[in-house]
Amino acid sequence: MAMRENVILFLAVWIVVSAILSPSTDIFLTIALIGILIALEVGEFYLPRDVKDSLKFSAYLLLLAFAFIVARKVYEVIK
Amino acid sequence: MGRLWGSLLAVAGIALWYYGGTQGTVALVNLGIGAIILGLVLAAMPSKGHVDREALVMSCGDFCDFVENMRKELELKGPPVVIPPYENLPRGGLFLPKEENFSLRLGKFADGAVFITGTEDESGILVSPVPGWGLIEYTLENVGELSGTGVGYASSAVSSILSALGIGSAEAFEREDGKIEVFAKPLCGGPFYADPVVSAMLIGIAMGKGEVLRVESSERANDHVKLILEPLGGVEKWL
Repeated sequence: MAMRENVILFLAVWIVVSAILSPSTDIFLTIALIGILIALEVGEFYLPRDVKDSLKFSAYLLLLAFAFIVARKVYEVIK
Repeated sequence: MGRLWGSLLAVAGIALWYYGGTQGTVALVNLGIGAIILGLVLAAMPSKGHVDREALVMSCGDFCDFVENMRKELELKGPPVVIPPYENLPRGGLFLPKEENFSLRLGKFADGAVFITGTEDESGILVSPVPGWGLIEYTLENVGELSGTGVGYASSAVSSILSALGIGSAEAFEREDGKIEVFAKPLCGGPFYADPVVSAMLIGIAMGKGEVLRVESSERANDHVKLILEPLGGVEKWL
């Protein structure tokens, strides 16, 4: 199996396992973001440009979600 | 293929997300979101064995420049001549004559020959097989014989194979004055006779027409190259 397929397989396993084991969606989104960042870092030289672009797009969306989650928690603490 | 599976996964993800939301199951919602992310990635994943067109351009571009340098260094001033396959040259070829007023001696040509020597007007370089000969072989395997089928059929056959392989496109038209106009999208930015796509098209047309063709003019317009070919008669005329 080529390295790029190994990286995608790692990401798929990471996402499925974290989706099943995460107690809440907030935690899952954060763990998924970490998985995507690992895949991007490891697959820098192996992944085709289009795949990296879609991974980056997903990472930006999850970063937005992460920022929203943090802001909500901060608001809860302040409140 | 990747797009199909990616889209299916994303749609399944949306369905899971919705179903998980209505049932109040966190794991299903998470799986739905995860499936959408994986679907996006999978959609961008090229299928196994797929080679990007850019990879072809990068791998043949420098060779095209080398051929152009060789032609300049050897002072080959004559117009390129397209030779259809015949007994001496079963894979056809492109002859780059030394002089503009060249004289063809196809009886002297042989498979494996590169430097054609003789008088000044007979000398030149023989490019055989041409860089796109593999494409012609593929066309012959999939479409059938091209020899004597005419310019329209032969050019359509080669063009359809180029299109099927995703490496370019080409069209050829016979003008009223008997000359042939070719429009092709080459892979490399160098000379057309070193380009796999254009050279395959030229050999295909020469086979269809059954004649030796002289490249009268060539010009580039954006991504495409326009060639005007002048038929010089059958191979037997030049033996």
